[in-house]
Amino acid sequence: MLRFIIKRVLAALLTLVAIDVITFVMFFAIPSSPAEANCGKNCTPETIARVNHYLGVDRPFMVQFAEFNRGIFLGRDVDGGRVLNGKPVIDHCHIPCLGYSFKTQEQVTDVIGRALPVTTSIVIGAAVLWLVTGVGLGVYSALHRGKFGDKFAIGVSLVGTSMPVYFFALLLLSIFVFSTGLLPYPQYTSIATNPAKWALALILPWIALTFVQAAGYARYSRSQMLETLSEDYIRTARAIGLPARTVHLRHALRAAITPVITLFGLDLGAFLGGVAITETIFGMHGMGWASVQAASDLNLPVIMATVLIASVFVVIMNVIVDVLYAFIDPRVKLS
Amino acid sequence: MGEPMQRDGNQADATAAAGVATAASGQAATAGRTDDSVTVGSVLTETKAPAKIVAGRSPGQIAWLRLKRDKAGMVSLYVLVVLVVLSLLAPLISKFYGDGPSDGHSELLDLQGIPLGYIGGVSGDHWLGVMPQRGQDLMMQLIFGMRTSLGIALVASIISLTIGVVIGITAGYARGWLDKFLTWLIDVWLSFPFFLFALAIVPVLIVNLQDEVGRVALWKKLFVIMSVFFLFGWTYPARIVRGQVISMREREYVEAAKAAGAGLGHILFKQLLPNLWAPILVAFSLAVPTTISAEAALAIFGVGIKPSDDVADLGQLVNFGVGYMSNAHLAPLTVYLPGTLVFVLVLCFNLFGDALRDALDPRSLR
Repeated sequence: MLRFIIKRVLAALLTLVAIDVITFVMFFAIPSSPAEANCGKNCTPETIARVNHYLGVDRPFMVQFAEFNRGIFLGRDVDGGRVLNGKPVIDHCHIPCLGYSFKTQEQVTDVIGRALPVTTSIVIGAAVLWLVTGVGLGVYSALHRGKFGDKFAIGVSLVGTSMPVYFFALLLLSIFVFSTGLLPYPQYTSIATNPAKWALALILPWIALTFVQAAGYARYSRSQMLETLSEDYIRTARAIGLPARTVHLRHALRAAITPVITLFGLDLGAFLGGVAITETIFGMHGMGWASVQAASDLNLPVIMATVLIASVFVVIMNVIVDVLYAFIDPRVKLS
Repeated sequence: MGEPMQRDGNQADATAAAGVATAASGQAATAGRTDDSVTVGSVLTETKAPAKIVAGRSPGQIAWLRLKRDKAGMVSLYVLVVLVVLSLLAPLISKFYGDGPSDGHSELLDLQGIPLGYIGGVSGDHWLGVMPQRGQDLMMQLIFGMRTSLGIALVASIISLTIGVVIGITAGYARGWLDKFLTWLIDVWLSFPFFLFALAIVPVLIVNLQDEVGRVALWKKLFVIMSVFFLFGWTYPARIVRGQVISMREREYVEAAKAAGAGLGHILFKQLLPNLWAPILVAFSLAVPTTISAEAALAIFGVGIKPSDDVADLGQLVNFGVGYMSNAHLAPLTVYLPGTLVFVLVLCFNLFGDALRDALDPRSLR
């Protein structure tokens, strides 16, 4: 078991290195004069020269790459081109240093630190909701296959999988906020300051993500459940006279839900990196919003950081899912 | 990053698509064993007819017969055909309708830029009204916008499938280190937050394509947008094709071809590829709606096609509508119709894709 985990973690590290390299090549090898693009208000030629020097535009690619990665693990000094009392200010960027956002004159880690709690609040809340409703709906329709409830659930989930989240979010906003005024326009409040306000602001994003995601989960868990219900051991369980409830929930659901949980882990990893559309439409300043903002400002250090962090989430969740799977299903280890 | 609309339970699709090829592995493979009950079934129904009709029915014909029986699938196919024809004939329609997508009608707006008249300026000349501020005819914008979105989605899907199929066949047939490397590459690629990445890279690339006056030719922009889609779209078809090839390469007919001295190209493209059409078609029907939705999402963020490009685009229309969300009653059609059209397109493609998968896979449960 330990060997499997170690192997899996090493493979994940290799993947992360590859992602690091690819991201860096794509964003830094492309000439886009980031210094000029990211220069703040009081931008002088000297500032541009300084920032360019700090960015290492004049140095070879490998040196820039090494600098960037040294910052992540050891921290480094960053020159954001700031001037205080006529003297250039050089900031120290602590571990994990992801660079300096010239546009907003702060360290990238600060930007991330603000955005990450917003995204996790949206995603984790929605994830619990969509898992419960999706699997519940899927199991219900599998058990009532062909009946009205099943057909209705399939119809709803088809609408859900085809519904673009931005359109659904728009509908939610115009129904609950602009037409009826049942809910205020979402405004994120930290859970530490006011849990009630926190939940109130997150209701609509949760509903939007849940509707769109639960549909896919309902379809998937329905087909998994149907497949499991046709297995021999389920027939045996029925034949020995176990109550339907036990057969369905203890025997069938347990086997059917494993691949659903895998998908859930992967989705969670993908979403924690930022749900750009949902965040933007509901005015939540999370990771997705931060990267959209950075993209429209051509704020390369922030873009790099958000893409990198999002991939790290995906890779970590991949490892967790694989290892969990090996615990549940011992055959995995052998292959 | 996998925003909801891009993910449609990929694993579910993978399992289903895995069954597809077994069904369609017709041709040489089915020679010995009549493995699909459909063939048997349709033969039985035809017993009353003269014997010669029983003789020939290709797997494609069988699939078409099954597809025709699927009501939801056929309805969505008709809707899609109508929408595609509308977008193909867009210039012609505009000529007969007497208005183009970019003709402004400021005389139909009040001083605040809100359309005069009922439901956002619906009239005999402008069937769906005009857009606030811009004063353009909404129906023309929708039809031309659909043309752009469908065009991008179709071209991008075809290219990404081609890349995916080539890589999938190579990985599956080569095995060994090449397969290991390609599989790892796919895993790395899938760990990339596609949507964030697209949002980030498109503006950077477009800035670099500017000419001296800071303008970017439209075709270059369209190419950048499409290239992001096929840069990331190939992984899913590549995975499926690889799995199929691995299961097919040991089949008798491949060995027979090998024994007869067939070259690598012949085995890959003449023996294996024909048996892969079913999963490829299904992957295509799933890739198109995903791309439509994602392309619209990019436009919503002002990445890609912008209002200044003077090209109608569905996503950009949705984006425009979002701006009037808080005053939806002033121009309801502008706010709700673009999103509805995206939804209908995606829904029809999904329904049709499901029907196609069922038609190609005789074992599918419903």
